[in-house]
Amino acid sequence: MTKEEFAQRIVAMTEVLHRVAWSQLGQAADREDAVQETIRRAWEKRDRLRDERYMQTWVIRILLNVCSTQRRSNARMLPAAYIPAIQQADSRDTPLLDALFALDEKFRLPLQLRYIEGYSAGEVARILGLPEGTVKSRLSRGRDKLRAQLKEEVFDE
Amino acid sequence: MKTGADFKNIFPKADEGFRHAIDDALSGLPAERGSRVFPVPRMAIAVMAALILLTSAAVALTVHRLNIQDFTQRSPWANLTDTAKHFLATDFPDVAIDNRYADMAVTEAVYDGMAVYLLLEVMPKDETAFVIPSHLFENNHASSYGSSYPTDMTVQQYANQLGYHDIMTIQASNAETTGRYFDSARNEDGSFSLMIWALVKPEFQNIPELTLNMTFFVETNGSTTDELTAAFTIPLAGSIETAASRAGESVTFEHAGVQIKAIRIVRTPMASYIIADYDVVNQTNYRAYFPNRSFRILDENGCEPPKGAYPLSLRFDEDYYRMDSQPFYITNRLFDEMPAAIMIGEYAGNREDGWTDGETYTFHLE
Repeated sequence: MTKEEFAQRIVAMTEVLHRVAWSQLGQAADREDAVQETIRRAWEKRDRLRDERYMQTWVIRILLNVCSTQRRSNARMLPAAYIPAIQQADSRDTPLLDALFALDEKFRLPLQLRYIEGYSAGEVARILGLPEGTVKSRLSRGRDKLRAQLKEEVFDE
Repeated sequence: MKTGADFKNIFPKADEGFRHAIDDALSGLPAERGSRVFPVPRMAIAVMAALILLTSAAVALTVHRLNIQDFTQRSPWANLTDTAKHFLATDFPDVAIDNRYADMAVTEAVYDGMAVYLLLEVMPKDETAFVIPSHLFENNHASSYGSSYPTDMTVQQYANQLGYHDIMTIQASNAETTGRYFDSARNEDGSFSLMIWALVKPEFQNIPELTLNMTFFVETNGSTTDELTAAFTIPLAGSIETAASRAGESVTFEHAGVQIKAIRIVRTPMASYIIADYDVVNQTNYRAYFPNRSFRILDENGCEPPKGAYPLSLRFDEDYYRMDSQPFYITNRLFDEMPAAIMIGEYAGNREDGWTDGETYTFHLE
């Protein structure tokens, strides 16, 4: 993959990368750092990508790892004033987002990737590094929890 | 019925700052292949695990471990000078960190007056513990180590297959530094190397020796198992050369709402550091200008950094980056010699117009 091809594919992923980063990190500066680190790692390690068709899921997996590391680092290394509460910085006051972000991350992330980003259960499993059966179970339980919170059906299968 | 589209619509769109961050990262990618990963041969791990499990005896093998120089060469701050390599090679007495979980020691350390570079070696005492880099988790694919590793199992499953049961990660922190950067590698013998790079706070800069009070966080299976502390002293490596902009020389960039009052460059054996002392003089313009625009640093002729130097840009964010009232720092290997002047240029970019240069100003140094 040439640098130009890599750049084109990353730019095409801008919105999905932003949604994933936004769901993980509350500070805009953290999200920008995370996406830059993700791009750097993806470029450095692109020879690990055996099939370029999976580039998007692979890059999202890197981004999630970077975000996790950043959240842990923030919690440990920044003075208390700099520790962002997730979504505190630019949370939108909407019942849908509130309900989604009230879920435990182990349910929220599979739901986000499956129904908001449109990945198959198998692709979500690949991104999260989980067995597909576990992902399907979390999707089902996550839908139940979200349905209970919103008091209406969610995510047409 | 709430659909995925309903949820998608209430997520905010990528703002200009995020798009700028992507553009900035892409424009800074090296053209040459940059992969310097350190994949551990699968067979080597299997053999090691088998030997450990079967004999429960110490196995003496020559194992290549990444050192600070290796880590630094694969970081964004590449191109170590020969002088820096000399200091990296200087013997540093191993600082053992007593604990019941692992044989841990700081085996290399350099303090150049502005930053510290530390190398931590970790070998779990429990032969069933599998050490992974802090950016990986037990539920990540084992292929995260490299393309030769299985894609159909997680790190945890892979570790189990090799005879390991627990997943251990190490993090580090201290009070004397800020802005830390980590890199790590798993070694062939099951040990783990963690490289820590961190800027020191102003009160600890350029002193004859720096005493670090480190705290290491040991995590096992995702939960913090213990916090370990170690204090040790690192002598100042070599001498520091400093140049500052002439007294009274300052510039106000009206579009950005920023007045740069002074520029200071510090050259150490390890790196060059650029420190901008600035004030936000027009909040409206400042908010409108950043973060999708920034400044870049050019040499006195207006040329970009030489090939291999990390691209420079100045970002001012008074809420996030200006910790502890410090001015903003950047480090790279830009200057082989102390320059007589540097140029600061507005650097504006958006997806419609591409990247354009704005006003520039040349600071003369003395």
